[in-house]
Amino acid sequence: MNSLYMPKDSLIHSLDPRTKMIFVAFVVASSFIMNDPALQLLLLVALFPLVVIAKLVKPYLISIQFLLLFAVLIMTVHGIYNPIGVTPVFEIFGGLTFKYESMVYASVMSFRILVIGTGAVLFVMTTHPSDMASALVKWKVPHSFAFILLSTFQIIPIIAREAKIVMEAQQARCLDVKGNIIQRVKNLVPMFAPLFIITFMKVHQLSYVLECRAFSRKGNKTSLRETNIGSLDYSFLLGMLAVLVFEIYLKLFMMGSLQLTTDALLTYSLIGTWVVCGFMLIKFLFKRVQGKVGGVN
Amino acid sequence: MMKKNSSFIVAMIPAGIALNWVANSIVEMLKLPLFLNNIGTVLNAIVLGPLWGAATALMTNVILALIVRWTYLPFALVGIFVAFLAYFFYKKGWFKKAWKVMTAGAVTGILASAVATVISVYAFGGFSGHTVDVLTAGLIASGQEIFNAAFVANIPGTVADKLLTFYIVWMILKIFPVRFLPNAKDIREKIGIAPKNSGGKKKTA
Repeated sequence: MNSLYMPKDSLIHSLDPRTKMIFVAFVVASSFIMNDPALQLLLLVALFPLVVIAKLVKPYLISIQFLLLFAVLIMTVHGIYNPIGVTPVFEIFGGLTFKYESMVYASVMSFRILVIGTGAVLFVMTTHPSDMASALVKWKVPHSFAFILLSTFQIIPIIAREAKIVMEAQQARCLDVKGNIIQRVKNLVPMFAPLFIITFMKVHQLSYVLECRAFSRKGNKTSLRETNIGSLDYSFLLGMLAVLVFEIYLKLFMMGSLQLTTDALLTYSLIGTWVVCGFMLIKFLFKRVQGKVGGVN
Repeated sequence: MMKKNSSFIVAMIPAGIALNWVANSIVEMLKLPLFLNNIGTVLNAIVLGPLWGAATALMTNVILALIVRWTYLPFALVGIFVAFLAYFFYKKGWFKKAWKVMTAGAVTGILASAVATVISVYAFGGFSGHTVDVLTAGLIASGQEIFNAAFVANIPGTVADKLLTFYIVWMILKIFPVRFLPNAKDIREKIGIAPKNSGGKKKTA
């Protein structure tokens, strides 16, 4: 199982993983500092050039789809039904009104999900898991923790393969997978028991191998992939610091006079998410129909 | 025990995470409306101890956040909570009879869904990213408060899920070959197999 890592040759990929971790923390922090829909939308738009620089536009859009679904659900349901809303903004059919306060609340929440999602996707897609682990070790995180993180990526496909073998073997022994629901619940035990035992056997093997390679020995461990912080990282960090200071300044001194959030912005962002979501739905249905038609032919 | 088995623990936590992950595909194949995504956590909490169970839960959600999407990360708290509760019930001797295990699972399910609801309300407005969200939205639309709606929508699934998780782990630990478990004697005592009977079995196994 690979993580979402996409090997590409770009500026963001060549950054040190530690810089990118700080970047994720920076994105999370700024999404909480700027709890205003307009500013968060601005942040989201400002993060997009980084995605372009990392040459990840298409995978980014695919992975952000689900978060967008979240946003649509939150904005629609909260915009109409959240009790904190008072001032009606606009009405759709059936007498349901979107209220200003609840729309602000919902948009802050859903834009925050999107902003953090963008930052996380940028980090995950540009960082090799080994680099992540070695960066954690450099940050004095215990070596075993980094190893757990890394080995999970390798052990998941092994266990998944074993699970498939167990399932097929039990089906070959007439395990009924199409019975009534109680029968199927009972079938969980014959499925999981061999899997647990296989897992323990694998774990014992793995721990012997680890001991053979002197895993629990004290001392520094070297890593195959080396990462180091260069001038690019320093300039990136400096840029982040500048933006953070600017955000805090904006928050502390300008908030009273600055009123970017308007009814129109909220309405348009809501309709925008609807349109994008509808587009996704049409694409999904189209693919389904295409698959069906293709299957017939 | 910790020092002696440190490489076993280091190998067991990824396996627990993998079990959490793989349980989903087994459940999918049997077409059951469950997740069972705490099965490795509960197993590790019982076999290795509560802290390692909690570590398994945390790492599971970190991995999910890295591989699938970041919205899984806050729900790590639920897993940690389940790990501690599982160890608590195990230590208090609730893993001896079937009905006690089921009760423990149901109680854990109720408490876990309360925690999950609090997280989902504060972080994601009451939604959690599963198909239950449709039910939550429907309940909110029918005039429920957001917290109540999310809680009511969550509770049946979570309770059934945790109940079965506990039951399966208990059933399997009962029939487990002793030589694989690091603290087999303690576990056999706690899950209601008299050590006298197991003495004979041990030699043959």
